[in-house]
Amino acid sequence: MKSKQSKTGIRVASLLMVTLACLSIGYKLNNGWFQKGSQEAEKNFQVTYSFDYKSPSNDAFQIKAFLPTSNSRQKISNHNNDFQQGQYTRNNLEENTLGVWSGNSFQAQSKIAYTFDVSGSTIVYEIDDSLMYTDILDPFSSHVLPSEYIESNTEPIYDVAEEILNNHSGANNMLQAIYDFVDKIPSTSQKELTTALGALKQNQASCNGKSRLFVAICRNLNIPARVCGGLILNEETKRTSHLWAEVLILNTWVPFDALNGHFARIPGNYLEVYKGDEFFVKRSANIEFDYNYIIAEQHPNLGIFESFNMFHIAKATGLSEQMLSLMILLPFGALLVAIFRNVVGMKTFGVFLPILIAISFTTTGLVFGMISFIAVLVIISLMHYPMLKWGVLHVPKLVVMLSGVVFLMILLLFTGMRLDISDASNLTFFPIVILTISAEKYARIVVEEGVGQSTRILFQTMLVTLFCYVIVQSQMIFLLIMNFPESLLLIAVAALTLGKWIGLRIAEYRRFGWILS
Amino acid sequence: MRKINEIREAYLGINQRNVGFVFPSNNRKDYKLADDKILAKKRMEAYGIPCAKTYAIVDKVGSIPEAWNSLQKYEALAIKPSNGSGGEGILILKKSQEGIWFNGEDMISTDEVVLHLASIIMGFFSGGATDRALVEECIVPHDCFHSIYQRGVADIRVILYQEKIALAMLRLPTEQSDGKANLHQGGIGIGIDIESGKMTHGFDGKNYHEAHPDSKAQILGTNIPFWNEILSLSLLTASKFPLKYLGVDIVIDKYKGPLIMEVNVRPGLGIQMVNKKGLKPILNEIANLQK
Repeated sequence: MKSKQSKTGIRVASLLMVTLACLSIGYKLNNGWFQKGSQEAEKNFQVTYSFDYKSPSNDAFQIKAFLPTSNSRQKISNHNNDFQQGQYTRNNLEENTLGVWSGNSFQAQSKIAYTFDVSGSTIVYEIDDSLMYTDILDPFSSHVLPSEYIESNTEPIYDVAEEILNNHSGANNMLQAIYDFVDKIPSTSQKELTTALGALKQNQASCNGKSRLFVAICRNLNIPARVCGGLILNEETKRTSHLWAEVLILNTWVPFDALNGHFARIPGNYLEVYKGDEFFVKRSANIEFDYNYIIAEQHPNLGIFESFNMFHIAKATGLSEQMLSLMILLPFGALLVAIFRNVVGMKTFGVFLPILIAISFTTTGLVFGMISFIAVLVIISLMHYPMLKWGVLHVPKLVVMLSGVVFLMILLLFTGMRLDISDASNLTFFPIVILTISAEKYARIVVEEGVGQSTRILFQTMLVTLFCYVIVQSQMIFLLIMNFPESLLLIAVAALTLGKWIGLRIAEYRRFGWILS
Repeated sequence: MRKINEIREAYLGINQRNVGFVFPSNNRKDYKLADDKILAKKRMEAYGIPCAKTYAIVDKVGSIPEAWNSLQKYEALAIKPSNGSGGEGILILKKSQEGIWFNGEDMISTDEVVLHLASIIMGFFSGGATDRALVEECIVPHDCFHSIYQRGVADIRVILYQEKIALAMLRLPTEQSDGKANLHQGGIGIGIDIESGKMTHGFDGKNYHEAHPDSKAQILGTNIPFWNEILSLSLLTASKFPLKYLGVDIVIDKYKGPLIMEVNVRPGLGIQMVNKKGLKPILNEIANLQK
């Protein structure tokens, strides 16, 4: 009667957990909520152009600012223009969109707040190595002509360009050389306008000087290029906008930002606002004017199921993905150990040692880790003998052995430091306490059951550890548990099933088997 | 394939022993009645089950000197940790004619005995948990097995289920086991035919023998002395413990006959190999009788 009741209970509990896990996993898969890694997710921001102005007279005035538009990598939405005292127009120019706020009345102080939402993604371009310089030059393009601040036709720029041309012929190499040249110029944070020539002569520049110099060298080489203006989006309020360069390669404008280290790459938090060497904001001279860009990150409002994902939890909490994945791998590995013990009939030192050791092997490396693990175990277990002879009590003995393990670790670290072996420092990832307890157990088995038996158990422990290591290293399992932490329910059910499994262990077939033969 | 099925049908593995028999038959709170030697002794004494006489129970380091003084009137003692396992921490003391205590061949001082008792109490033999020391009468082995092997103490393990005898074996020391009868310490296990009380084969963990490997004395077919007493003692013990699956260890004392030495909640499965007989059909038959 009693066993019947417990059977129903365990069945109901198991069924419930399996159903719950499967429903949740199925729902996620059905919605395509499966992240193939910790790719930099799209970030969303709300941006406000905040203009304060004061018009001392009744003269007409204008404030102009470029407005961003949606394209393949950035989405602009929810425009909102808060401007009561005058007229606002939105003008589509050839390459850009310009907002114009105009008024003419006398006002004490007024405000314009232009707000929109942005979500952008990172784009990385691959420039084919087989592409030659001759494939990307275009002497007839309007984008190779010099301009007021991009003095591409001057002698110093010409010298730089010629030097690069003489040493490179591939398009990628050449752009890399231009990029490196600009990159080597010391950066400053000065806000004043720096021309291409100015940046070269002063040998220091901020984003605008560097971008103009990059574009000027390209243009001197007849490679179509332009500067591009916008904002770097971070949770802050600031006055600085950003300028970078774009090069026309096979009909695609490819971004370069030598100041921030982006070669043929644009990060997700770059807001593109305008193309060409323009001023972000312009205004009539007859008003007092101040401005700010107010940028606020918007956290996406995910549903319960979509956000129940370790990648998301890692990002939201700031915890490391690796740590979280190892946390879930712990029961995963323990289940594996349980199977090896209860189904195969292998003996291991402790239930958790194999999985913990396997995890530490991911930092120490497999071979180095295994050798040092066995070495530490054997050396520490040797400490057991004199203490057994002296009759030292159990807990104090563990303290002595723990001190021994830690001291040995420090010695290895010290040796590694003296001999300059970087691998040695990884040893500190060993689970020291568990290692101590295992060393004690190992030593006791050596005393009670002999070297043969203890070596056999050590060998089986290492074998199970190896299997755990494969699990811990598996990218597929990493993705599964990160996307579906509810798989823990399945592990629990598997363990429950194993806990009621009454079959003979494989080792027992061998044990009983030869009686018959 | 046929062989695998044969094994599966006959032999009991650890998984099934625990899930199918130990867990459902025994309440977890009753395990200590067997695991703790002092609790087991108290229960046996309460129900008049023959066992070694208890001389003292020492549970405080402070009371060791007093206890040791009171023990001086005895000629021989066995000191055991109440929660030890595998025979660890057992000290056998005998007084010489001059009144000096000996442990085997070695003289032992009062200090050494006190330290041993203190070690037991502080948990040296019970995995760190504090323990109690049991001091009891030292068994004088009956000479009934001397015709087979002279040294050490032989014991008989009986496994009972639902107060019915399932399997039994005799364990004898060998030269290799150094006086101990434990199977994995080199002792030899001898199967017993329960109906007739006759010995079957001896098993040393690797091979079967018809004679004792050291003395060459015949085993197969030899009668187990006191067999009927052993059977009734086992059944009595099973009926007085709230454990429906258990192993009892019996030794035969020169003066008192069969005595219960230990009660075991998780008796080992090696007894099946010693008897060349699986437990499964036997236990199933007992279970069917109950219905």
